[in-house]
Amino acid sequence: MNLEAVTAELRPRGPWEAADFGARMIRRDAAVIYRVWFMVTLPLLGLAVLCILFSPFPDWVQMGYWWLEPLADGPILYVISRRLFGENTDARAALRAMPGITRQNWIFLLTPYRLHFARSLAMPLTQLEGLSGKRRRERAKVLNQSTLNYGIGVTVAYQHLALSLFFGIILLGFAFVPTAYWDTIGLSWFENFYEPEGASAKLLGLFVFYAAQSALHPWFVGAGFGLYINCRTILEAWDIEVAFRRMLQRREGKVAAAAAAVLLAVGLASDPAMADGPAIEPWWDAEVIEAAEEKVFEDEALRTMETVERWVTIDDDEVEEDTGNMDLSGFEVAVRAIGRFISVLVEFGLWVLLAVAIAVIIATSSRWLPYVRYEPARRRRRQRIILASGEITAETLPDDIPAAVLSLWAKGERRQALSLLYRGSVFAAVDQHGVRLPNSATEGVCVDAVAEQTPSAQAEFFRKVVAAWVWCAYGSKAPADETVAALCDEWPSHYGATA
Amino acid sequence: MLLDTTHNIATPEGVELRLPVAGLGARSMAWLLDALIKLAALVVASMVLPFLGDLGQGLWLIAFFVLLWLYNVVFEVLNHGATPGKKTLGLKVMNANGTPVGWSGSIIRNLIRFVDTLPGCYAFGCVAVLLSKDFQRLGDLAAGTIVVYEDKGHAGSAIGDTDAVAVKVPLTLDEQQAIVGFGERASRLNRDRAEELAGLMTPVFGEVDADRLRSHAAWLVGGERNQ
Repeated sequence: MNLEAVTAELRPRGPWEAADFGARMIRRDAAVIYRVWFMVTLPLLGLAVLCILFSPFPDWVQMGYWWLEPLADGPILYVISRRLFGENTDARAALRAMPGITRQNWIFLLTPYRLHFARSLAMPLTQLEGLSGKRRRERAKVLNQSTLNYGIGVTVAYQHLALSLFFGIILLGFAFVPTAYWDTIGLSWFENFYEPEGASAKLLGLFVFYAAQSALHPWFVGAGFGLYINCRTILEAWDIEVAFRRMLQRREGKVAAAAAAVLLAVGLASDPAMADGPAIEPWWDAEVIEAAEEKVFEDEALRTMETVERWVTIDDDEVEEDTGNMDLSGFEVAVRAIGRFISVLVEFGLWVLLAVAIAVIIATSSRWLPYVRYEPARRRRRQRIILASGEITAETLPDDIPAAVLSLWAKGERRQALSLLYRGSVFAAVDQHGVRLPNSATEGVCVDAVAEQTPSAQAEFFRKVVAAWVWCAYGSKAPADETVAALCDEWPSHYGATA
Repeated sequence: MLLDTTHNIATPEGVELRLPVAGLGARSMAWLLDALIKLAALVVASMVLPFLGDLGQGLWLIAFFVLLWLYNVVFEVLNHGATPGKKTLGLKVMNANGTPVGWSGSIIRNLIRFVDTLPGCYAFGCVAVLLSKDFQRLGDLAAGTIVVYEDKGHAGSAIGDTDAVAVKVPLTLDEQQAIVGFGERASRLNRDRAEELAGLMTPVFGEVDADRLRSHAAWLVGGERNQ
């Protein structure tokens, strides 16, 4: 093992973080690891299928498959451990190494150690350090001091999550059954897993189990490996060695560093006494969690109802009055009375709240009513247009624009009349036809915008209005009376009665 | 780029924050604790509340609603991102940009929790945590939140009682940290291993053993007895 080539950030981590570290390694090399997983387990699955179909003990096949599944752990461990230390191991190399690995791991495959509560934490000892017998047990004792609880925690989490995925897949299948068939197809779907009858039901159960395992089993192996690596990082200060070697490299230049890079004696096959130092300070000990757990259950809210039951009957008369319930003690009657009182109070309060809410809604109707009711006249009041020559709001315009224009015209206030006609037309074009104008638009801009955004007849009319206004305002050349009268006549047909 | 378990954020000031995100194991355990707490509260409620008759039934329904939908949100927003279960495991929720989780983020992640539980038994959430980069379930992805291990803080120098010996060579920050790290952990290392590591430093400091390297570490953290 060459610590300089390590491909992950080694540092002392908390135990769960260490498990996540393993999960990250699995995720990074998922392509290779899943190839290994499928290459090992699919033949096993095929064998299991054949056994279900043709062997005399189909009921035991799934269990047999489950027992043999750790065959895949060895090659997966081989891949992630080698990739962690910079070797570009692929699935084929892992499979080639598999017979040797399997021999090393035999106690986890054939003996009751298969049921080891922290198997994924313990397997690196036999496989990566090549230990067995007494030496393995001694070494395990060192690692277990700090990590066993979390190794078990990883196993527990893995088993339960695999179970929940298993049920999840079953429920997902059920979700595709139409409601009308729940008690026929749906029921028999569940029975496939609950009481499998016949080969097809057993095969279905096996496949669902296999799918759930495929999602989580590599995670389990990786999490255990993460715990193992973290434990050794802490015990042997790997991270510090990596930092020291980087320091040397920087100092001596790459050539000298390469010469000095003596491979470490802490290789994967290290001496068990190596890490057998003074006991590690248990800063992440299970005690912390246990203490906190105890605190939770000491919580007042979680105590039983002792206080309530201490009270005993005093007054028999009140019990008789209660509606037929003979066993009620005075206290209970009192509590019920209080309860009834509170509920009346609460009910009353809720009605008051409702009344207040309705009152508020009615009082503020002027604010929200325009939003829910279609009323152009009211909507018009909020429209505000800013032109180069000033701003136009509904308030500044009379309700009947043509009439107002004609009366101004008759009075000889020609400029005001045409100005009103122009502003009214702009406002109507924006308000009724939805023409969008840029801010501070000049007359020319208005004409262009209307020409672009409305039908040609209206645009032509608008152009005539603007032309009349421009000639009058800037050219001091008022149009003829008939022209203005014609424009006012035509006005309502384009912009309607706005009042 | 070395593989690590952190979610890194570069702040505008050019500081890199490295948040240690929490994965499947720790998060399931925290969920389990929370579920047990909620269950216990409901069991207690259903033992006590029947004494209040119909009002009790109403209160029980309210309690059920509150525990189901508001327990996580209230704890996450008001208790520094941690429900009691998360607190126990040393986890907390925060926004992916490192800021504390707010009402909207927490509400979104806990409403989408329903999707994570689909099709039952949290199968979607479990798969999402396995697949996503920062161990986020679907609710976290929607709300832009992450679950991190809480920083327990540095317990102060653990180098112990040793004379400080000045370092005469220039060291970068990383290198100083490595020396200090050695000083803090040397007492917990196997003696041979400590000497072996110290021996690596011979080209830098001249002849050093573990004790001398610890003295350098003590000097680096500001030991007073300079020589």
